[in-house]
Amino acid sequence: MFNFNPINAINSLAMDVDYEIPGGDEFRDITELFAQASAAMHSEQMIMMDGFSLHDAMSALEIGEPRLDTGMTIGTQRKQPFNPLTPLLPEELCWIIDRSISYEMEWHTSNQLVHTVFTLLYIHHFQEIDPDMLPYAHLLVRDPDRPLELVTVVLRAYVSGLLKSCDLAWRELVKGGVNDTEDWQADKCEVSLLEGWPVKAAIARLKEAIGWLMNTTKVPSNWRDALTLRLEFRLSLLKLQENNVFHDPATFRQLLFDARGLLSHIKVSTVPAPPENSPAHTAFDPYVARRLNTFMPIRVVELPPQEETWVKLQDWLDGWEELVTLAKIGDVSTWNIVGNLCNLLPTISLRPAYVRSSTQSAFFDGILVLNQYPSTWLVDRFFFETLGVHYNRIATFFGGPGSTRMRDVERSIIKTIVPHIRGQWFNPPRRRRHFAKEIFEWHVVYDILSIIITDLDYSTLSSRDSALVLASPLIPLYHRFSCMREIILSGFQLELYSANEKDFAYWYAAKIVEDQLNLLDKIIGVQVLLSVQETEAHQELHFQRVFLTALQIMCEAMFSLLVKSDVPRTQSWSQTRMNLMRRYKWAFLERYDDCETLPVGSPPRLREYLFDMSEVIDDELNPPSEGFSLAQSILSGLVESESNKPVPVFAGPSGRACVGGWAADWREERLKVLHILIETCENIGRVKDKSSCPKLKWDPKKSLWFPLLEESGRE
Amino acid sequence: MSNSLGPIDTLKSLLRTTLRITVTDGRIFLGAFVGTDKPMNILLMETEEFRLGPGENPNGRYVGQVMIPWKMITKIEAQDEVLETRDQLGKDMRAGYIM
Repeated sequence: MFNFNPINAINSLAMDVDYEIPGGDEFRDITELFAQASAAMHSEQMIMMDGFSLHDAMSALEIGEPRLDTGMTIGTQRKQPFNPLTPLLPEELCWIIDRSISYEMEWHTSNQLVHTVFTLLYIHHFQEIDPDMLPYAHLLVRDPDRPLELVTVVLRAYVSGLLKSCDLAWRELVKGGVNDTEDWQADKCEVSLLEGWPVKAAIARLKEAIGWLMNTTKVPSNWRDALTLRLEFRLSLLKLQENNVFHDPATFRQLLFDARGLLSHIKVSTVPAPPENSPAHTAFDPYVARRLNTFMPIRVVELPPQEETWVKLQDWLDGWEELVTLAKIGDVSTWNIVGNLCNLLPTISLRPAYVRSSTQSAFFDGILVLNQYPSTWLVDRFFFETLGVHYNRIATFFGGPGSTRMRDVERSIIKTIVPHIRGQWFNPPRRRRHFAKEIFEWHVVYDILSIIITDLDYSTLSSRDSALVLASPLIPLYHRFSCMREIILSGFQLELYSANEKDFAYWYAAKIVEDQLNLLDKIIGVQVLLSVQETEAHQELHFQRVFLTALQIMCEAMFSLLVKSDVPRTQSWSQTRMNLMRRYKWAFLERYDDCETLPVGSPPRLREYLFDMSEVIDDELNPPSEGFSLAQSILSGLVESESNKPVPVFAGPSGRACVGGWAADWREERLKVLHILIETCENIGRVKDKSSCPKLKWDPKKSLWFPLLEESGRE
Repeated sequence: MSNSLGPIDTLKSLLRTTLRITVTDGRIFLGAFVGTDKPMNILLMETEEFRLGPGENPNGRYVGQVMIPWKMITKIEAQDEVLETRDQLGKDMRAGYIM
């Protein structure tokens, strides 16, 4: 009869390692030699290898300096040694799994792998818990509450699923749609994410573990269910990640549905933290970076409450839901609207970088648009979705699509649209910077089209055809104005503007919107002439015209309110001017000189701004409140008309023509934007005159681009 | 370590060779010796850091160029082979085989 402590036996399996001294035994102690040399050296003397300078020495990492020396152990950071084969209770395992999901979500929130996922030590001992390597290990464990299979079968399967999930996410993120070190952190510290494993292998492990749990009698049924739920959820996530939204949308939707169901069950079965002396606590080492190949300073990531992790996962699934819905839509404008709404609505949080990157890849994977169209398809959509007329009809006058004269136009349109749509899923500051660069590209398209149309002999064309050709340069201009408006107004959402800059931003936005409205009148005029009023393009432009009218009035009223306010300016005009030149440097680019056509909408006319300022100060007849009241009634009318609009015949079964032409399934979100603006108008409209001295507060989470009256300042 | 060189010259002869330095928290650094100063801040290049013990990293991790202050050092070691070659050179010089 054997007589031994099983835990110690297991420990000895994992820890009975003969540690070899690195470098081998053939070293001799020369510490004394260094001490003697130090005594012999004079104070300024240095001994350096040839070609190695003091400057080179400056870049050395100082050992013992806690901020730089990631390997240094401070007394309080020492913890019990971790033994991967320590048997665990099922509730301890559940806790470890939930905590590892939290860390995974923290990685998806732009933290380092080494500070999050890799703190789970089983990842670094993956081979040691392989049941194939421990054929007799389970015989050593006699504790019926802690079957070793929980570690070697269940936990190992879970870790393989977790790593494979991270690997699939890493592969998507590294495609370059989102930015490493900004949206996510790529450093793997030379730790394997099971790159060599096929996804099917991880899925098979998970299924095997689920099978073991279903048949075992070693785990109480409540914990067996809790563990099965978690493994099944990981299985669903893996399958979702592996599936392409285009190949089998029905399966993707079913998987999403299953994942949502599993997540809702997991949410209600929260696992309490095990007691302090539980071995489960040794499973995570926030200081693991000190022994991995990384130069990252140690940072202990504080995990949020578990509920927050579930919310993040929910958000992840929502992002996929949005993606699978978008994937079936072949209208570029809808993609554009959805991208805008994601950035606009305070109710939609910024999706994880992984979901944003997947969305970008779904739109354009480097070869095909929406997994089926060649990039030239975008040129047709560009004209069709704004003008309501197919590209062929315009290109015919210049030799047809793909002709020598049109090739530059097509290339520049594709070069601008693809990054534009993908850019909608950048992080907000990056998106704004991208748009600031993009407005020049739109000008180039406008420039090329403007030049081409001057070569045509209009005497041979009908009035309709002439109008159509002459309207074609207006399309890039329309998109350019939209971008400029977004750059200016998103500055409020990003809280970029100082108090001295805000009135100018509203003034400039109002001017841009005014120009865009004039342009819209022209395009809509052409649409009417071409009898395309029944198209989504016309519906969209009609919606935009009313919406932009209200927005322009709001911007003008806001400019007026700020100029009239008693808040003194803290800058001279010359300082303000310099600031504006810097802030709006995208509008003052010298590159525009390379084009034949003058830029429209930029640079802002600063003299006109000063003139408008003085006019507003003297204007007693048009208080800002009237402007807000007018904007409110326009927006309310728009909401009413769009909400009650019957579904047009062309709209299809989803009623997609409501609220503009291209909002598709996002009509409710578009209406939400209108409602927020209506509430803003109502709120700021309370300021009747200067004496009421409003105290305004810009809170992008509540009111998009405009301020609200602070509670104490309300009348 | 008897040879004709003084301690400073001996140290110079060890430049570019591999040193093994043990520090107070138990870590061992293995890297090429590239320089030092009077307070004995030792510079190593192409360094690997090792930490022995259960759950540690006996396989080492690359830390590149490091500066180890004297106060952190508990032991400095050089390769036998290098020291023996240098000792032999010293003996040969004393015997007049090498001028």
